[in-house]
Amino acid sequence: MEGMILWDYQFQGRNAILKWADDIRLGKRDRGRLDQKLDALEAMTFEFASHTNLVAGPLNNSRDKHIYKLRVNGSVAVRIMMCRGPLAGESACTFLVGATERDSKLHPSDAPAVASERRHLILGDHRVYRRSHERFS
Amino acid sequence: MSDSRDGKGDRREELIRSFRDRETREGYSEGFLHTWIASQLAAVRMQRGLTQKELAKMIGTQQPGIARMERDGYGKWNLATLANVAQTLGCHLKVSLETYGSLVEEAVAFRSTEFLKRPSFEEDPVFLRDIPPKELHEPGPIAEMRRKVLRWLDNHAPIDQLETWLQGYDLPPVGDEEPPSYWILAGFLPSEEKEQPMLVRRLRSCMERRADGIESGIRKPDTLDANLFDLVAKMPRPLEFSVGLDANYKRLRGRSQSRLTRSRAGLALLNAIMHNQESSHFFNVWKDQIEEADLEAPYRDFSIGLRGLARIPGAPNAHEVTLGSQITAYTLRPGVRKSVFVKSLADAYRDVWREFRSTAPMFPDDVLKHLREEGGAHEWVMNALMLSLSSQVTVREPYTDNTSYWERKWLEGRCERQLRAA
Repeated sequence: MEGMILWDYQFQGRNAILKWADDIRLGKRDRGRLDQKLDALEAMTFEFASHTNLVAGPLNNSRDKHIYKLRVNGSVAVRIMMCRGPLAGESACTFLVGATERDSKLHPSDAPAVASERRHLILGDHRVYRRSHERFS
Repeated sequence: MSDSRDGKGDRREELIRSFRDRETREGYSEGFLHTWIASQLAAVRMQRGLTQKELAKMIGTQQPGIARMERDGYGKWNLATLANVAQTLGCHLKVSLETYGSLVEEAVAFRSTEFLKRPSFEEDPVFLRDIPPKELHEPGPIAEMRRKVLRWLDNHAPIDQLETWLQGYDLPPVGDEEPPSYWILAGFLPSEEKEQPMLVRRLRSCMERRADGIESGIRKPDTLDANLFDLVAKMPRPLEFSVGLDANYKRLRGRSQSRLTRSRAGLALLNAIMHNQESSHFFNVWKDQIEEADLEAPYRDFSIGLRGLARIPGAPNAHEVTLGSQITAYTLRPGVRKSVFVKSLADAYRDVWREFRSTAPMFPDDVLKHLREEGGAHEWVMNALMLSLSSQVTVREPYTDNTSYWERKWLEGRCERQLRAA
């Protein structure tokens, strides 16, 4: 069956992706758009999402070849660093770091590297470092 | 796993709540439009088996132009170009102003890219047959199977196509959660009365071919057999298949003397026969099943045999099948212990009695006697009694006709003691 389970990275019991959206004061319209893209991603196979460029990657500037970025264009070009799984055998995606893009440059610029580190943390103990995805709006 | 996004109801509620905010719903709507157009172009193109380059050539543009249109977030489509692509793919383009309520429903229904696919004009069932179009335009695998079934009927119902389905090929791409028989029946479910006889005829032909050993073009004969008998068991007019089932029973038994119950096809065949009997036509099948039980799995064979026997109205009592002499005969067969044989038979009787209650075959005296000698083997009767007491259901006791007064008292006393202990 198509479709994936979505997860968010969490740190100290707090959803790091939602916190990032709050920190950059992501607007309601962008949140609505972001939610829609994630709903669509949940309904697709990863390959189909890659084909339509909803997901791009794997990124070269991450430490390994496991980090992708979710592309959502609105008033802000939102790019959420993510990975497939990462646990073996699961049909899932985990959102690791929130970022924006301007002039083809990510902000923060080290987002792929941080995402890579967070992925390894999740691989170490997924119960501590990730939680079910929560909507932005 | 605590996934808060697992239910359609939850999703609907979340969307309705968030759509109360204007900016949120407008943002969602913009995103949905972009995703829908890009994804549907890709999904329908792939459904037609076209590459981006081939489609580009057909509409007189370059491959990167198609790639751009299939990119989520592109958002700069030209209406004329979109209409051109739609027509090339055998569809029409619809641009419409809709309510946000309808967006909620569409977003909830969008659970798979299957939802985006559309048949071409040539495959559009509306133009193939004079039937209500609603059921055929619905997205999803069942409607797709329905379309396949209608095309099959329009094409004079070729038997090789039915055999292809029964082998698990060319079914809606939804994984293998359901057996082929489910999908074929789903395709026929809303059908007109005149379609069912065609399926019955083809299934009968298919069984004849199997009985005749025609296997040309068949890659998975055992799977085909299993699914064929599985489908026959689910058909509403089972008596029409008795000849084919009989022929196939002889074929499967004749191919190897090992028990039918070792293969999935054999089990499916016995199940189909079980659903087929309203007469004693298949009495000998169940007699064989009981009398020639597999030495390695006697319980399973007894259970199937007795279950079949119980379904025949007015069938001879099980005593006439499982004669006392059988027990002695089994002790003479090498490798079979009498106690194992009797225990298996008793277990099978217990299960069949639970299932059929008043119509179950009666428990043979020989077996009862043997169980009493073994000691404690009357547990199955106690369990059955406790089951009936606990559910406050009055059932006919299985032993009243064939056991002595003393035997009844002994069983009842033991049952009461058991209940008190519990």
